[in-house]
Amino acid sequence: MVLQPSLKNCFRLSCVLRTPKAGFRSTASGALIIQSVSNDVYQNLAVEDWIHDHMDLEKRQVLFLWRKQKNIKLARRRSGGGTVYHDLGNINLTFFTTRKKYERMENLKLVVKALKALRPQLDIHVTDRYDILLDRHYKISGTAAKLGGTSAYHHCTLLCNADKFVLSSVLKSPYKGLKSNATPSVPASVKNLFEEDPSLTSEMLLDAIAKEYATQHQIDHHITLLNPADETLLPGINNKTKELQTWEWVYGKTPKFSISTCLNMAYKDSLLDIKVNMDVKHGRIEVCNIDLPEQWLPPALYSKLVKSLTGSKFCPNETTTLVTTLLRVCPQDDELHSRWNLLCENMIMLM
Amino acid sequence: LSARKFTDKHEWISVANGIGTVGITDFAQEALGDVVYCSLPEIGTKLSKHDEFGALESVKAASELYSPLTGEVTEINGALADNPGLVNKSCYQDGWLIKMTV
Repeated sequence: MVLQPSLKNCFRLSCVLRTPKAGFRSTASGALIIQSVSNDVYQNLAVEDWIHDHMDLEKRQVLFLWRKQKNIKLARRRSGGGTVYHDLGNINLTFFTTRKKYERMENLKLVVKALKALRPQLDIHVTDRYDILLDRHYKISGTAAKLGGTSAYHHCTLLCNADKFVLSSVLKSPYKGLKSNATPSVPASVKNLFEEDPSLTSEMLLDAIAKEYATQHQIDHHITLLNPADETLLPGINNKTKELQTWEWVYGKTPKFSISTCLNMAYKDSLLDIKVNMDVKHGRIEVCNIDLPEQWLPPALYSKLVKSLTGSKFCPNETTTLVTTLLRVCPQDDELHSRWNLLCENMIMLM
Repeated sequence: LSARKFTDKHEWISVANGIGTVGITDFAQEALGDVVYCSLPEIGTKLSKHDEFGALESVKAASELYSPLTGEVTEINGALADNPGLVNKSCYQDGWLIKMTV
């Protein structure tokens, strides 16, 4: 669903974005509602960065509406908080204000008010953790925020009609024996608004929220469409989009964690229990210990393996390349090769 | 005794022997809530006044940190990796963030 914004909209938006102090007939200086025409997560996160860095939110606050498409891409956002699953049935709202006017509770109350205006029978309320609950029990919205020097944004989600099966399987961590200082995740039961009322769609929700925002900011209920790939409108946006996809940002900012686990490897007639300990910082292996039985691999080869892994990315692709290269300089010994492959396959599966 | 100077954002800097210690104010730590993670620069990073040098994360909000002066990072507070709450408990003493040449 890619809509081309009309020329008129483009003109208004570019003026708004470049000279926010320019007076506009129909958009009173209070606020602006923007909706992305793209469902690409990186492009939309880049728009958030762009608005945060370039727009003067003193004169004009902004509400940014967006959705993410279904093929699962991993993205790291610049606000804090935990992992969120998105498909087109889980919408995003970003409230941009000056840092002084940063008010998450007010924003969430606005969302609740909009939903209640649309469907008065809905039992929804905001909790102290800035979640929105349906029927006092099911989480339908989570919140995160970023505070800059002078501007701030609060973004939150709203579960309309997401695939709950994929959601719970994707959010489950496969890692056992992983230790870190990360804030523990708080699991919650979730429900889609669509399950409560099948007549609701994402579009209706976005529209109701835009309407309430417009009322509260005393502006026209008009949604300006935005193309996040438009470099003329948003100078520098494509660089921001690229940066959000780099390994350095997605994985290289990972706080320190350690893995302490056992590889269960069946080799010929025996079952091996190999203890593995790794410390990973900023996505790279700092320390690596593999407790192999003596002489299972020639000591020189083992120490080459550990040395190569140390400092390399905790990444299956990188590790595969690394071990393949190392194998080339090994003697042509079938027994050795099969042990090596077995060990390396198991190591790669950890990543 | 070095005086503590405050920026117009939320950082303070206290200079002694050409080295400035940087932290955030009590008002800032209060507003942030419990700090759960400190994202700080590498030693040797060169900073200009007002450059963003890191962020503090409380539950669900990431707040940027801005360099009060121009200089180079000489030390970062290692205690914060395991104990980020020091920023709340002792923002002017044990919860310092970085040291830099000024």
